[in-house]
Amino acid sequence: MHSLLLLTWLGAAAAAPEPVMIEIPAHALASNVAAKAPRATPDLTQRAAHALSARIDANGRVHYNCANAGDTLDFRFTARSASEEK
Amino acid sequence: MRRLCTAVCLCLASTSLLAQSVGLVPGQSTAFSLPPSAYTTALHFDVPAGATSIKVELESDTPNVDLDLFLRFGNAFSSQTAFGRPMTFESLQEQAQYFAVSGGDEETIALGRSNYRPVREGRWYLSVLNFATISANARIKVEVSSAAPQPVQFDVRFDLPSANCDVAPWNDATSASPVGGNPGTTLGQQRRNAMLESLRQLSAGLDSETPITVRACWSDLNVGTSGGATLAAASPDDFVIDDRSLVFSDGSSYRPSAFLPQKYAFYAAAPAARLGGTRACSLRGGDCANSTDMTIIYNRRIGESGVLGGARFYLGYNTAPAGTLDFVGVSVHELGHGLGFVSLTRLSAPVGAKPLGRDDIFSRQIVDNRVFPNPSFVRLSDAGRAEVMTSLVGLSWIDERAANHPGLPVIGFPGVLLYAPNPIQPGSSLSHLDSFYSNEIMTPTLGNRGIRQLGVAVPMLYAVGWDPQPSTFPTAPAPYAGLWYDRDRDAHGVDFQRNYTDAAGFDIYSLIFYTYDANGRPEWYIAIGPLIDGVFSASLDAAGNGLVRYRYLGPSTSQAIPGESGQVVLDFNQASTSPACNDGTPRADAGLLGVMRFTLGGASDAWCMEELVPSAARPETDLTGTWFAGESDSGWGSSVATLAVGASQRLLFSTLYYPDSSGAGRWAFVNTSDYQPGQPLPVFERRGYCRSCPTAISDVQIGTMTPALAQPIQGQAGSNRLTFDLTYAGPEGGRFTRNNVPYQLLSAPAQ
Repeated sequence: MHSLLLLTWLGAAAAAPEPVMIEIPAHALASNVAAKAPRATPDLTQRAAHALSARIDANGRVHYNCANAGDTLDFRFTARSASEEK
Repeated sequence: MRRLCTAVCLCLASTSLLAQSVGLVPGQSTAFSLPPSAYTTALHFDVPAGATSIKVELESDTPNVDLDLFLRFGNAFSSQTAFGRPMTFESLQEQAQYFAVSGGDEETIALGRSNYRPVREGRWYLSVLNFATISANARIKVEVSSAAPQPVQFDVRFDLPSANCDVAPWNDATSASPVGGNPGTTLGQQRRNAMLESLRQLSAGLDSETPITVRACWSDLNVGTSGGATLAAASPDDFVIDDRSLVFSDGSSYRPSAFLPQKYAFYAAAPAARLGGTRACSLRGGDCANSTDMTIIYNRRIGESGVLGGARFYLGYNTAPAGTLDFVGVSVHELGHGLGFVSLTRLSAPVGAKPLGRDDIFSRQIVDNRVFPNPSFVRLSDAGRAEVMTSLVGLSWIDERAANHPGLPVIGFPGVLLYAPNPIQPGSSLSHLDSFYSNEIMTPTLGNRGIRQLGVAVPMLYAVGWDPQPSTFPTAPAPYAGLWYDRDRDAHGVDFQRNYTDAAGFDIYSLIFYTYDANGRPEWYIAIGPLIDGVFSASLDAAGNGLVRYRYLGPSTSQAIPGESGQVVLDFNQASTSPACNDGTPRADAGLLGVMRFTLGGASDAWCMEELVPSAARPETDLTGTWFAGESDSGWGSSVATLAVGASQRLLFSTLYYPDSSGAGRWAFVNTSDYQPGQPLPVFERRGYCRSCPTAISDVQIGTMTPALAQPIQGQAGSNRLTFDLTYAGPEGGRFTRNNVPYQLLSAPAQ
């Protein structure tokens, strides 16, 4: 029964015209611009980066090996030392 | 407007009116206008029983604005703070269970039944913020569905070049013949098709209401002198943690992340986006146009004659022929790491160290299987982790679904063995399955040829943020109002009391931090703010401080001292897993724990707090609370705690907050194991130790007090009276007295 009600309700909602204009109460924001700034995240991606290497032996067989890639590439979204904890 | 005056004369305006809220109709787009730098808390929608997912989309018809979206279940967002001030971006975010706060004008939050706070029947509340300096015409639409969860959708960005990220190989026009099910007719097409096939394989068994974005490109990666070469490298683009105790030297911290199931542990960006119901850039803030959740970079030198003998990537979907390089298998493996199959534990010096001293969610599933009961890997010392990582067979992943995964061989060890060679193989150890599992792709060597799917790594990924099982909406911890302390910082403490409920439905608490200055002299600070899903977050005063020191200027006249004030957060959620509560001090006998992170004088610390008087030991007539002499004589007051002693006695411990001759806040205490109203008691001043100093305590009597408190009724003195006469023993001196003044409970009565 719940499903039926839900489907009926959703069906009715989907058919509604759009958009509906409303007026809503708004409040002036207290100033804190710094809090909205994107956070500079520590450089943890160096620990997480993996690189898959291969070598091919004399028989033509491929040997794979996955190891750390942190020294090779910079995956950091933002650069920041991971030692900055207060 | 109700006015409330705390013991230090914080005259506060509670949120007076819950503005008329507008109910959004699911499926109906609704338009509204927001002034510049303004927010609304007056939107909600109702979710019927049986719904399995909800999606809230916010967009702007005004270009170049920055709109943010906040969502919570249970009660509305406050329209103003406990100080009666406008909300800040941060205070809205703290109340949100979900948020999307990129720098753009479009935000989406999409949830299912398996989110930590899942879709549920009832009313959900929204807040929308216009961060731009111009008005914004916005549209918002809610969709509710009862459909089954969908497999995770990966959005690949083949178009994000940078200095070491070349996208031209995706558009290589060299003609190619279709191969192994890949219908592409140019090399570039085949590469893109193979990448998409890798993601199709990767999505098997994983669901998400939020698409996951992958950056894919090419670069000149390592080519070894001994014949080896790197094929591809991948990583999550970011990590997210819900840890209010982690503060950086510039005062910043990670955003509150109430959507993460486990606190104090890092999650990779992709599962965090799934759990947060929005893209990682909207969790982090800032630009989204050039932001992804994980990155994979391929070696564009593959195919050169001097690299791996000229071997090429095999771009077919089936098993790579001998002598070719398995593009799809390599991609699935590396992107598996990007999905969170990765530990952040250090594999180079200092081996075993955790990132910023915090757990990562992958490592939390690991135990040392050589000892019974199996110790948790993250609870070992750095040296202990370093040792078990070279134990060959000592690292087990403990998870029933993984251990019982069909086809997984039984090997006689608990759970699933992780790779633990001796010596450590940087990058290979720990973040791979033991090479014994030759039919699994997440071994360091990719397993047998032709494996395409993640296999047992799928249920392992469930534990790091991909669990598809419907979850139960969590119940927020309900801390007892009273005195709390850290047993490592004995004689410091906080009086944490519930005062009232604001118009939005949040309980507003006060926190008085009684502590000592650099010279061991008693001092105190006060904070007031909402308890939000088990987290007390102090509201900010006009100077931007939440933990405020006041100067007493006379009855009912006090002045905040911004330069001596700071910030405080007290989080009661999962505190037992926090670094502060795992500092080596035994706390097994403690009840509910909370982590108090504070910043004062430029220094931050995190303390593990517990109840000083266990709630079960409270007497029938419990005087516990914050008391004061009424609005006409505020600026000083008491914390009172009572404890049942035997059948008929009550222990009373009370801290009196009063000013010295300079108006600086000091405190002293009385203590009796057989409290009798009207009985004179000696008042002691405690010389303690600063917040980062070694323990040192001595007491000196500075006067007498006669508490005659009998009726703990909020806001009514009744027959309650207080008399005291004391003189601060520090160099400032200062006699402070009251004679038989009516005394009333400021906080709500203890429950």
